[in-house]
Amino acid sequence: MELLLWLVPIVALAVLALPLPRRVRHAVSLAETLATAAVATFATWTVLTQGTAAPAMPGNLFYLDAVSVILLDLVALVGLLTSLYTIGYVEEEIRRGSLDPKKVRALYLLIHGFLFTMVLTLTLRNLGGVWIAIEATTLASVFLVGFHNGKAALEAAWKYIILCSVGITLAMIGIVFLNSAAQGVLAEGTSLDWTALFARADSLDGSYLKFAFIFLLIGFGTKAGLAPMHNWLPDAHSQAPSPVSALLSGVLLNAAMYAILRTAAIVNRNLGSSLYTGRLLVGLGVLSVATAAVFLLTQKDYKRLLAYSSIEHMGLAAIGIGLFTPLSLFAAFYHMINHSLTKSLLFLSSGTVLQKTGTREIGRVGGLLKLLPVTGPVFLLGLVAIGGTPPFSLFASELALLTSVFQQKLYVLGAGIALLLALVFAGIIQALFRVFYPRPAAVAAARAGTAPAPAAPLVPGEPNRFGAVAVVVLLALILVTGVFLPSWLTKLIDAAQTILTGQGGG
Amino acid sequence: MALAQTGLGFWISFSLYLSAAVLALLLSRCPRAANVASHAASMAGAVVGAAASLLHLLAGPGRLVLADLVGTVPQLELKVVVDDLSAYFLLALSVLVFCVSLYSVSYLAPYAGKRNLPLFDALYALFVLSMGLVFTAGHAVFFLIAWEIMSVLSYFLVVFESEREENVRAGTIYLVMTAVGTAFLLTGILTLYANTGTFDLGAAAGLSPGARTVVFLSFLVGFGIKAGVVPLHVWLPYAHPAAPANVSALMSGIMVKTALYGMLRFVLVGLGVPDGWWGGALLILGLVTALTGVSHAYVESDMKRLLAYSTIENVGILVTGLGVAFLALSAGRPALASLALAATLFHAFNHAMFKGALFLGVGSVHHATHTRNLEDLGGLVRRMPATAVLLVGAALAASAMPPFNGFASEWMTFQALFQSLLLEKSGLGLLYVLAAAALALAGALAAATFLKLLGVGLLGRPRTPAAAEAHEAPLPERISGGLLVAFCLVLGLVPGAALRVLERPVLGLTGFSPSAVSTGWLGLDPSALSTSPVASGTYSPLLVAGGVAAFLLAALAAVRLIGGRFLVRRYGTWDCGFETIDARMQYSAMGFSKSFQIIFRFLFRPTRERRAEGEHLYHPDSIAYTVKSVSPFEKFLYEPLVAFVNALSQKAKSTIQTGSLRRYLAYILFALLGGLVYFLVA
Repeated sequence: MELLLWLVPIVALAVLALPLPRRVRHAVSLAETLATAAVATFATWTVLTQGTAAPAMPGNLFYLDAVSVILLDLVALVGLLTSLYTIGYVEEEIRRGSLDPKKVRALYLLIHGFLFTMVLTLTLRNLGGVWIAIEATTLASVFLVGFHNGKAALEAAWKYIILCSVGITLAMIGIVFLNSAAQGVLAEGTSLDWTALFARADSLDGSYLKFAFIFLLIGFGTKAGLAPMHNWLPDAHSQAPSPVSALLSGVLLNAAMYAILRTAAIVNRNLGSSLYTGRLLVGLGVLSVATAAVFLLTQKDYKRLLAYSSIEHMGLAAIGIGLFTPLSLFAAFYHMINHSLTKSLLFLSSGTVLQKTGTREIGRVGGLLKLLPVTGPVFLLGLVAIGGTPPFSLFASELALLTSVFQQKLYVLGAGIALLLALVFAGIIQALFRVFYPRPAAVAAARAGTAPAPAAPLVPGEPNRFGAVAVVVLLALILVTGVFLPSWLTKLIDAAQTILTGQGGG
Repeated sequence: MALAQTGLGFWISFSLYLSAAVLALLLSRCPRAANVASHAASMAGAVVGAAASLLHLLAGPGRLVLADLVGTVPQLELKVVVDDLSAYFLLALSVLVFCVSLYSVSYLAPYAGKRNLPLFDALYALFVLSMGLVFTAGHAVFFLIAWEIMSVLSYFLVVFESEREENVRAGTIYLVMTAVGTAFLLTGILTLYANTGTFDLGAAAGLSPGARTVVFLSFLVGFGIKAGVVPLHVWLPYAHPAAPANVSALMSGIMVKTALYGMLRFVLVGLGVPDGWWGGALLILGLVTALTGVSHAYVESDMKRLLAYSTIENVGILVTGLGVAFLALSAGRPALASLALAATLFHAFNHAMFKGALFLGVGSVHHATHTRNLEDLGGLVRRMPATAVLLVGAALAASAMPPFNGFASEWMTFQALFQSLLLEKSGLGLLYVLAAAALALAGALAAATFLKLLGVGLLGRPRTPAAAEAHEAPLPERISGGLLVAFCLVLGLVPGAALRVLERPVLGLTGFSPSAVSTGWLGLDPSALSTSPVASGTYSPLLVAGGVAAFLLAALAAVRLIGGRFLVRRYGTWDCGFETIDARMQYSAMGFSKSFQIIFRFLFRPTRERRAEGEHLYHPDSIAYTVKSVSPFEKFLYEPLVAFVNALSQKAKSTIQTGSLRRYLAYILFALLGGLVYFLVA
């Protein structure tokens, strides 16, 4: 049954490759993500009841446990809402003349290919396979980043593929050393299986492992957008079409983080302490948060600003993984969930803003609350949420994370993170709230006493009704998860945390 | 008193605030109705809230858990607890909210149709509710949540009139400072948690001295920002005036007191007997705050900014009182601490009343004349007599003139200082002398400030057509201001009543009841609480009031009897060639405080500009003279800091993120090398 997670996208990709009318394409896309979501729900249930989901198949390639199923559910959920959004987005792009109807097929193929590679990343047992799947996500998404074929988009795609390829190469070296660490301990065919590696972690070669972890962290960290390897991210995330930005920031970063999480767990178990990986992860995490805080302040492009905020949140997740205590891991998972939902909300809304106003420059957008009666307020609340304001969910996870830092008596680190978060919040708000105030042109005209600029006045209204539904759903989700975690989710996160720390039999 | 045992009143009050917000949104199609309905609900909530808190303070069960919901999200707990301290602050909140909501009914009416009034009303009601929750949070994280929501809502209220660039700027400064403040609160709360393992608000025992220091300093900075303690005050003179008058009244009147509440709740209750230096630090900070605030208020000509600076002064007085109380507690003199705390809490209430009335009155003037600049006003006492009377009453209270309430509480603060001085044997005594002198100076300057506000704004002749055509404020605005001024007068006349209400909160904090200070309902005599050999002064408001009234009557009679004969006098001799007296001959607001500004040049650093237009040097057609002064804190602390951060950001952008792919690859390489070095070392 869980194998449908692989089958559904493959079938959908085959169908989407056929010459079809646009409406049917929309329907197939939505149906694919719906089906994936349904199977993911089933898989979640399996994991909840049986601990893992590993249907019998040749090679035993497929493996799901609580760690991966949480992130898989995010892929399914964000994928579903994004494909809903994409319907309206594509229609509006075509209406505006900025998308050639002939390219819709390519767009859908790439998006669903991209989704498939992410599902693969999260469902493979073999870490080598995970590595291949992550490389595949780069390949699938690089064309999406450069989809608009503009100069900036192509440059962004270029940077993206070069930097991430270097990163993935480093990660491969790490995989090779990981394999060496398992030499003589594990059988030939299973030496990269996560389950086997983790089960026998105690007997693996520690120095090989430690060496491998450096490469894996830098390599996958590049893909996860951790500073100082993050430089591709702001360009790529801001240049991609908005639904793709939502996927890139919302779920792809998590997938890269997932690989780090799995390898860190092996190393920690082998060393019997999380100090070795922890110092590195916390260091990179704090550096990422600080980098984002500094660069956020002078951003003029709202999509870039959101991209920097992703670096910040990945940094926070890295800190949580670095501390590797039950609470910090809980916080890291909770944070990844919240960031996924909040950031995809923001990128999807920003896409609608871009379609409405035609500009990515913060200073040229204004009066959004009136202009976009649904997306505008949602965008505003989303920004408040991404800053970590209660009652939205990111507040709760940031609080849990900080609590775990203070629990370790790391007062200076905790206070430093708290201050950096305040800076980030202030940076986002002071840069982005401008878009909700009256339009700068109108204000300037009112001051000069002249009529507004001759540019066509924008009529209030939603250009993308499907998109409006999607972002409202996301807003409801981040509001609910901020104050209430369903017991199955708490159970899943607890299970994931137990699996990784190896407590309770692993 | 079964009602007081259940806390039902607090529930009703909170639900009414919530329903005020919901009503406003439900009726958003009809903004005027929404405005009236929403504020009516808020007023009802305030009445119930005031009654419930009063009942709680007089006959309540002490500590009452209203709600305790443990959520599924880690660390999150919805816990609402009312104790005597909460009830006291809720009482102040309710009284102020009642008057401000009444005021809002007519004050906001002109916005209908122009701005999203229902949204504003909803935010207003939620803001009130969030403050209520701040005062009743029984769980540190829930406190933080209420605090954050309060801050964010007040930000939206500040930038409500966002078409004005300066409002947006004010909001941004506010938000940045608030975010930093929250980071400090978070640090304090989590340090407490790390050492005690609980988020419950209450006595936190067993902290190491180092942790105590960290916690105290975090809360000092975190709450200090919200209260506007110098040098963390820069946002306040921008943000408080930028908001519409009703929100200004709430922010200055009660929101700054959330910080006082926080200090009491987290530091005094949480950490127990304060360390010796805490009180000293608070005392010095308080005095610097009071003096800085009042001297800026004195030279300010924007009415609302003047009031905002005066709020800073009053925060200084509160912090001073808190410092005296801390010092007394750490020296083992709970009776004295109870006098100082009673003075502080009483002054907090009084400030809410008179500053509320002042902001409301000034808001009416602003709506009537469309200006906040004193230089454009004048002669309003004839055009807006009722508002003028209210402003005079509130200003008298704010300048600590007997028999108003401001005097009573400041007098008690002075008594606490004097008692500390008499009891202190060490060199700390000098500090108390300085403190008393500084407070006296602040009081004198405050009186001058309000003389300026009243003299330039209300008396004389209108300086602009707008002032000449001002109209009296609508009835609800006059009633609400009148109520607040009446409170000021009554509390000033019978301070014993206030002390009765204060008894239990102060008793809970220090273990000593302050009620011994009052002789009956009518007088104050702190000697009952003093352990010093020297008898202290006593104060009998009614006697003073009677004296003042008798003196005024006598003066009035004298003027009538003696001066009556000379009322009509027409001379042309001394008018220097001018035939009539016109508005330009009056003292301007700037002229009023110019000499002060010159004396304290080092503080204000005024830059002046004189521009004459016309051909002749000595007979120009017109002369423009402007003086600008920038707060030294902004100039030497904040502006360089902001410039530095921005420069850092720019510099980082141009040197780190050059766009060069080779460089980015180098970063990855360096990261890898760093990792490998770590591998070798670890």
